[in-house]
Amino acid sequence: MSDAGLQHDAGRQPGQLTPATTHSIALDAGERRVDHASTALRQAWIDPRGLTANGVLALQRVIGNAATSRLLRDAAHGPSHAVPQEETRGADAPGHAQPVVRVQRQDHANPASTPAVSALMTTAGITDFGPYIWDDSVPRFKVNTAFAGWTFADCIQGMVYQPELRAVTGEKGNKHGLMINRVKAARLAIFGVTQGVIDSIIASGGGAAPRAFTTAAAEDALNLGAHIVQRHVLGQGVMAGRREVALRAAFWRVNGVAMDLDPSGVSSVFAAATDANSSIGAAITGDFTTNWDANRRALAKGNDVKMTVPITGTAVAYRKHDAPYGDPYADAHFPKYIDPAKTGTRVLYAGDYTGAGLSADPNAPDLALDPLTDDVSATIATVYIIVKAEAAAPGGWYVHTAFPKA
Amino acid sequence: MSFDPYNDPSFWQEVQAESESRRAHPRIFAAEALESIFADASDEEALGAWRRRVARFPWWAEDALYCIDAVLAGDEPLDDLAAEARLPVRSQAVRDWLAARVRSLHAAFDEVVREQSSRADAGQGSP
Repeated sequence: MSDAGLQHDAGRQPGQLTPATTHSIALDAGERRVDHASTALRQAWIDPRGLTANGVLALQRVIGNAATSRLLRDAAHGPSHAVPQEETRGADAPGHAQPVVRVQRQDHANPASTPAVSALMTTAGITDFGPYIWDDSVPRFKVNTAFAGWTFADCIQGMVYQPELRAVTGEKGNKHGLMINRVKAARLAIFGVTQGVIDSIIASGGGAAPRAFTTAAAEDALNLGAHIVQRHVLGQGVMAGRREVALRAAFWRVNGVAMDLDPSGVSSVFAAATDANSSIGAAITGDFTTNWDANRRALAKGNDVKMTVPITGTAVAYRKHDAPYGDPYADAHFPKYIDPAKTGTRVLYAGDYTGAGLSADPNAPDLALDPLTDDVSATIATVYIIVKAEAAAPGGWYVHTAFPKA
Repeated sequence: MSFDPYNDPSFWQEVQAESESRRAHPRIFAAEALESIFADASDEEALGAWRRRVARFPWWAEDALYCIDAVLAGDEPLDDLAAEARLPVRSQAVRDWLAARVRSLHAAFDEVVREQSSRADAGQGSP
């Protein structure tokens, strides 16, 4: 059965049907179904509030889902929200006398708002609107701008509410878009109140400029995960001396601690803490401050700010002598003058071995062979810095890492 | 003019647009997120930082999970990704290493969302 059986008169009131409609149903449908459908249609015409779920189901069977939806949409009244009247004129050429069609817009805040809505929602299996309202002038769900029950979980993408998961007969709109609008509304509500990192940014001089950077050690001392001095400054932490820097380049391991490298195979550290401080300080007062508007917006989104800036100071760097640089040497190459349990006979880097030599030292390297690594300190021209957003940090951010890079 | 992005609907439009861009090219953001989460961090440090991030920037965290999951679901070699993200693992071990950690990230994500929602329900506000 097509929807053609429903004929809308421009001058009729919402919910009213022409006699031709009921007549066509009576001719086309089986007797028992027609009884229910006719009853439902009459009910919709006379008093839409009296519609029952069974009546709606009978209509759907006989006149189809779309026609039923349209009928119910027109029939529904008794708004749970404000009911503005909209005037819609016909689309014929200007100058023709057009009847004014009054479209009843209704927002329903719950599935039992009216019997007609209740019937639709029962059919769809929707018992809870959550943060949505049903706008039967389209018809569609939309975010309830008056909803006050937002929780953190509403800020997460994913279909969770019944209106997002279940289709209503005749419903317009896209469920994914519906969910996205809900997420945006929830984020605005939740994070607009509890500002987190924004409060910290603003607390530092109103947020007009980044707070001052003092030292890498001070960033580490915030205990938010930074280890700049311990891992990236010569003579500190695991990088106690040049040997450790070269071991990392050769074996990607220092004193039992795995320390992988990028494909360049360069292991590098600041020559001293002052070199780290001057390099990071220059980046913060330079690039980071110059682009502060964009950077603070990135931080507000939780994005890292990554900078590659010229080094200000000195670095110490080694690279594996043999290609491929993106992989460490096998353990068999580990110099036996460093660990007698190993078998390697090459010196780690030129000048590392200071023993008596092969004539007097069975573990001495063969200095005629190439060293395992080369000093490439002179090639280091930049510093790689990552700044992270953190509400607990002064100014709303901290320097997470910084190291010299070729 | 004060800095108040969280009360600006256009900011959330921007966040959403960024999210869609990330998810359209998951490999790129997966590398960025993995570096942010795991580089220069022990597992314990990474998980602690991750929990803070979920609480403060859930949109970033869910994009990260989406993109890492997408990369893991594919059959592309992950060695380059590991190098780019400065992960402490290489070669054949990358996939297993990553899969194990992503399970922890998912569990922590769900836990933080539950906690934060409970806090909101109890009127204690969110992060």
